[in-house]
Amino acid sequence: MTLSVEIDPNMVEITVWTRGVTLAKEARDVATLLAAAGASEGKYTQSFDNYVDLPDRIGVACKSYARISPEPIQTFYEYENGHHDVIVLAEETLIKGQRYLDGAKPECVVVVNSARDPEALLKWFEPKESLPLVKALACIDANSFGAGVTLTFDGTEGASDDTKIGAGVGAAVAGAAAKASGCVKLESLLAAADNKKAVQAGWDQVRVLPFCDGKPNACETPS
Amino acid sequence: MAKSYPEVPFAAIVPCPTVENDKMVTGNWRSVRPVVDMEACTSCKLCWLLCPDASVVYDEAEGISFNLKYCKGCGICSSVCPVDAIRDVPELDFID
Repeated sequence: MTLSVEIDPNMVEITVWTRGVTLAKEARDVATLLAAAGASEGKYTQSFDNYVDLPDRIGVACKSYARISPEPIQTFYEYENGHHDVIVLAEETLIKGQRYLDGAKPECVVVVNSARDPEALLKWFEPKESLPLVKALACIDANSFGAGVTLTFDGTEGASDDTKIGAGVGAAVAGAAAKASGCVKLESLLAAADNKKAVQAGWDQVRVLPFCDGKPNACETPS
Repeated sequence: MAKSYPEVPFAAIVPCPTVENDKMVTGNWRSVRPVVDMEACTSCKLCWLLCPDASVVYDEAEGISFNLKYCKGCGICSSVCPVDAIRDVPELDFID
């Protein structure tokens, strides 16, 4: 198998972890928004869901993916991201008991939708040997911004979707992920999302904990 | 006469419905964990009866407990408890 890192060395791979059915739409929104924002900046993008995880089971850990590249993307046939630059956990308990750091690239950024402090989540980071690859851990309390938006199960099968792209908590998570990783600009993300207030709040209120050699807050200049 | 196949397990996939299936551990699907208040529990066993994954364990001496290796945190046990003895506690409130 040819690795995507060899074909597309400059491609940013974004992996969004979520819970099946109940939060699948929000994770797809994060991936779709980041890809749409990247495309509006003239970059080449892909975004798609993982079906190996069987996401139609309520509560199962499953993934959505986005790829952003300054050059045309040559990776057509890999349907899973294997080399993550940005890892987003759309629900905080995913930080426990899942191996989301497997395959992370050096200097990867982890973004968690949580009202807790990044320091409080450190003890659950898995696997521990991948910690030196992490550049920053960011937390955003997106549930509070998206609270006015009712989650619907429309669009979980991709057939129809009554809620707009980026109307709920996904908008705030995308804003936080964009700021923490720098993968897309705020203006292009605002243009792509339906709930612009949530994107702005996610961008403004994300709490970033920088890492150095696997230890938090060891660097002097926060990224 | 029909040939019998004794080597094929019942239901073909799960060797026996009364044992744990180590190939299908679902404990990490859970975002809330059921916690039972033993003072309030009357051991009516409604949760034990209605748990779709048979993750509620009943023991005469110990009372109600949960098999967290398979509990998906669906919340049915806490919903059906007639005396509200079961609470759904956020999973990150526990270290393990």
